[in-house]
Amino acid sequence: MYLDFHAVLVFLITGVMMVSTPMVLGMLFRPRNSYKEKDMPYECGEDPIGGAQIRFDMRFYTTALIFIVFDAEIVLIFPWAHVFAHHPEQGLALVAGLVFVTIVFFGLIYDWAKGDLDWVKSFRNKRRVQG
Amino acid sequence: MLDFMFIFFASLALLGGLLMAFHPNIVHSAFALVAALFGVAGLYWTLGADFLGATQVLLYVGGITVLLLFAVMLSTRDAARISIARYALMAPIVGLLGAFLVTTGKALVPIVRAAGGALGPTEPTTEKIGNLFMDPTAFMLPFEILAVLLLVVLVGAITLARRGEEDAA
Amino acid sequence: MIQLEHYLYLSGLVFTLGLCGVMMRRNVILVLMGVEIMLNAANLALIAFNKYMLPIDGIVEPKGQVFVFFTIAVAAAEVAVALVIAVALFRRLDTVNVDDVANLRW
Repeated sequence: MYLDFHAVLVFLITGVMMVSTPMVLGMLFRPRNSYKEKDMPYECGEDPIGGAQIRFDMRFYTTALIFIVFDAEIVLIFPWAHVFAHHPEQGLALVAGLVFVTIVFFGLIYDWAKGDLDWVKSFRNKRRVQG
Repeated sequence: MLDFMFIFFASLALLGGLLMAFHPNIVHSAFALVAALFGVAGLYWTLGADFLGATQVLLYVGGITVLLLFAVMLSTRDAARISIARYALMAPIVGLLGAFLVTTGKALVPIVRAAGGALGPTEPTTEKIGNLFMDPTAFMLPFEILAVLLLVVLVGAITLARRGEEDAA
Repeated sequence: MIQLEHYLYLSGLVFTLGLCGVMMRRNVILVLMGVEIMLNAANLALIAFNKYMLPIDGIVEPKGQVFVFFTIAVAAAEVAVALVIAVALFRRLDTVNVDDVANLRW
C-alpha cells in the first residue's frame, strides 16, 4: 500500500468544505444590494489612500528573517527528536543534537543582546548615544 | 491514483513556474512561486518522501515566500512592471538548455534502470533520515556544520539588515 | 504509469522555467525566485533518483532525501542573506534592477 495519506486527504477535504460550504450557502441566500462603498476595505473607517503595495518597515523583515532561521532549525531537529524518542539509549545522538541547538542558540543570544528582537528600538539607541 | 496525482502536481509546478517567470507583476510572480513550490511538495509525496514534502511546505511555502514578499514590499515603490520583450534574445539559449536537460534525463534513465531501480514498498522516512543524521559515518558532521551556517545567517544577515535600517534613519 | 523519466523531464522543464526567470527578468528578487525554482527542480531529480535507486542489502537508504534536506536548509539561509543584500541595494542605490548595478564599486 502506498503511504498512508488518507488522513491528510480527509483533512484537506474537510478544510476546504468548512470554508466553501458557508460561502456557497451565503451566495445562495443573501440579498444582493451592492454599491460602491461596500467594496472599500474599511467600510465604516478611514478612506484608504494610494496603493496597497507600499514599502514596509525593516523590522518586519528582521522578524521574518529570525523566524525562518528557527523554522529551519526546527525542521532539522525533528528527525533527531524522532530518533531520540525511539532510541533514548543513543548517547551520541543526544550530544549531536545538543551541540546543534547550542550553536544556533549563540545566534539567538547575539540578536537578543544587540536588540534586534525588540520592536521599539529608540530607547536602546538613545541610551547608547548618551553613554 | 498515483498517475492522477503526478499529473495534478506536475501541472501545478509547471504552471506556477511559467507564471513566476513571465508575469509582469512581481507580487503575482511570488504567489505563482507558492503554487509551484506546493506542486513540487506534492511530487515529493508521490515519490514517497513524506517528511521532505512537509519540510518543503513548512520552509519554502511558509517561510521563504513570506521573506520574498517582505523583500518585495521593502524594495518597490509600486507594483514593479518590467518589460520582458527586451530580453527575448535569451529565449533560444534557454530553449537549448532546456532541450539539453531533457535529453540528459532521457540518457540517464537506462543507466539507473540497469542499476536495478524498482519501486519498492513505501514507508515513513522520518526515522531513516534521523538515523542518517545521527550516524557519525554518514551525515553527522554536515548536520553540525548546518548549525554553524544558521548561526552565520543569524549574525550576518541581521547585521546587514540593521545597517540598512540605520542608513534609512 | 508514471516512471523515472517523467520525473526527469518535469525536472528539466521546471529548471528551464527557473532559468527563464533568472535570465529574462531584471528584478533581483525575481532572479532569486528563479534560483529557488531551479534548486527545486534539482531536488526533484535527486528524490526521483533516490526512489529508483538500487537497494543495498534489500534496503534503500534515503540518502538522496538527506541531500535534499540539506539543500532546502541551505536555500533558506541563502535566500535570507540574499534578500537582505537586495534590500540594502535598494536603500543605497534606490534600484533593484540588476542592469543598473553593474559597477564593481562606487
